[in-house]
Amino acid sequence: MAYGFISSLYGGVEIGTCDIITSTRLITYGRVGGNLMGNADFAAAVADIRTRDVYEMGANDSFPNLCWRFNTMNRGGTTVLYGYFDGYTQYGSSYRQVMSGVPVFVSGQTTGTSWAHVGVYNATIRTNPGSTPRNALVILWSYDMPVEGAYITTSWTVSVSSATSLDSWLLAYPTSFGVIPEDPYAPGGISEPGGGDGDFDFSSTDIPIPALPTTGAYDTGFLTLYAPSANGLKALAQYMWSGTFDPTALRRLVAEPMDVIMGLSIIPTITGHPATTPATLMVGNISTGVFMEQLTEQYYELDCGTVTIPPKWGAYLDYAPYSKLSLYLPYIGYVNISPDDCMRGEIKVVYHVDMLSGTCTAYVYCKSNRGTDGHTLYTYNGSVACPCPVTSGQYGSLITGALNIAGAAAGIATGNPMSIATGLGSIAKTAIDAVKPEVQRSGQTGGTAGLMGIQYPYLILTVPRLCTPADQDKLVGYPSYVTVDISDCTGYTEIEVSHLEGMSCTENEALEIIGLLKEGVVF
Amino acid sequence: MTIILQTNTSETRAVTKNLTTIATKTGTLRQETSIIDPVFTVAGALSDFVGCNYCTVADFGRSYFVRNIRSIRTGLVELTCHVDVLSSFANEIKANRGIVRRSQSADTYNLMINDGSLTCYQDPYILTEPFPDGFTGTTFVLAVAGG
Repeated sequence: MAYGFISSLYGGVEIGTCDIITSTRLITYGRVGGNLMGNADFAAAVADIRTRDVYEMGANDSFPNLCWRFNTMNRGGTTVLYGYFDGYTQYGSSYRQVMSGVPVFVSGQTTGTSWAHVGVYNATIRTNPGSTPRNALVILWSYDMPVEGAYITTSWTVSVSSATSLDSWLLAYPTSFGVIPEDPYAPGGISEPGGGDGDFDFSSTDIPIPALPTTGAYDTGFLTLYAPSANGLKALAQYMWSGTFDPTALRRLVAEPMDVIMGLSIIPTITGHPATTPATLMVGNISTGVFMEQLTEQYYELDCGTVTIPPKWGAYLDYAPYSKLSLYLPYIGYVNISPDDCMRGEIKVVYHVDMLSGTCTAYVYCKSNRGTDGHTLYTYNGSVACPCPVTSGQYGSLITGALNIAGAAAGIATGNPMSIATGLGSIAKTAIDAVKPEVQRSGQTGGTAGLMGIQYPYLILTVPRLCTPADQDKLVGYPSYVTVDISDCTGYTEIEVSHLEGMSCTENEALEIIGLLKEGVVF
Repeated sequence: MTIILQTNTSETRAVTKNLTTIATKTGTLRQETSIIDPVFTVAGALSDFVGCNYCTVADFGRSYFVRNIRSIRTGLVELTCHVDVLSSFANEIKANRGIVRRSQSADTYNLMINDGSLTCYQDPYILTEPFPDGFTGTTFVLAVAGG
């Protein structure tokens, strides 16, 4: 048997190989511990054990499934015991039942001359002499019997690992399991072939814009939303400050009568939304007699439409990092998106608006020229509600909020242009545009600020200005990477690779030809 | 042996040369010379060689660039030549295949390949495009307790 490390039965982790122990190599002995052997027999057994890798205990002991121990002789260290069967493993003077099919990993640190682990082995063993050998992950540990009949183990520190897989044990006890990392500087090296196993499937699944929520606070009945006109609000104010309004009736519902007014805000709208129905305003189930439109929906969707993004140069300059694309989204601000996501395709912006909270979510749906599916690639949220204070407290909050928004500055350069330049070392001529710093075009534009802003989205496309000298195609050509029959080449051509065959020239002439083709020739 | 003295008006990297014959010299090769970088000593007036920058030697199966013309003495001119490998082996070259890295031909080049060769000015275009629709109005929204 090789005192090496073995194939795992779990997870396919290969940690080494060793011989498979067959039953012919198993020797049956009586119990070693417990003084069942005579001294001479014991000594003979010890001597024999020392020459063998595995031995098997007899089945006539009081531990019917105590079946195996392994010999490694005078090897110290951390002991790992493992059992896989419906049986018992022994360590120290205790026995631990091994659950069927469930590995139990136990480690122990021995002192003195006692069991010590040296390796994990893949082997076939028997639970008893008459059973069929079974594959197992087993441990060899050292064995030294100093005296007749004495238990081998002395001081044990046993810990039970919570790990349930060999992989975990390999990580926890690397020295025990002898996991040796590869030496990258060894003569054999560690490089290996690989790759080329992609599925080459570039199809994609559409990620559509989600539908409006079907559940909202508006469905609870604890509140009602109205879309009053200015005159309707004035009528409400007159009612609440008039003698008709009885605050005591409301005090059965709320502490302060004004608490029935949960909020008043200005929300942007589109044709047909919000949907409303005529109603009499009810405050705390008290009819005010004021007529106004009651909202029949909490959410609405605004489809801002689609903008196509045709290429300007029909070259790599149309894409990142040379071209830049920003979107202005009402009530959100300016956001950067990648031109790679939509070049030669289109962009669609859809808003979902919650009229109760004033929250809006903008979806940016992009379709490029690759494939037919588009994807919701960007999602941003903002606030469309412009609060209208109805109490002094609300007015104070409104002013404070406006001051906080005003403090957010615009025009700040963001990003580190040097980090961009580092990655573009080989793209020399057009790198200048790519390393220009990003500039923040706006601060916060939600709420009241958004109400005063532009109410439709728009694109900002920054495209480099190409500089093309006359006859560039004839003098230096344009980039290419195709395999051609050289006979089909016309004009200025640089041929990167050509294994010249069928040539009658000398070697030096062939080298000169290859060099000239690489530098560029005119056909 | 025949040496055709020519004037080449094409660039040196042209596979097919535009040649004009100046004179044809016939003689015997009397001394050793390389067929890659031959040096010919040719009898003739120097004026016969003025304007000669190219020659073809059928016996060598090659065409040559004339790199130097040296008058040895009256009536004897020395031509130092180097083989024009492109013209000499044009047909054999064209029988091969290769990967083109740069090309003049629109059938071959692809401007989507980023080799950093396109030059740009520092001032970019800033283009804006609005979306067709946006928010068109506003409304008050009043939230009240109860219903």
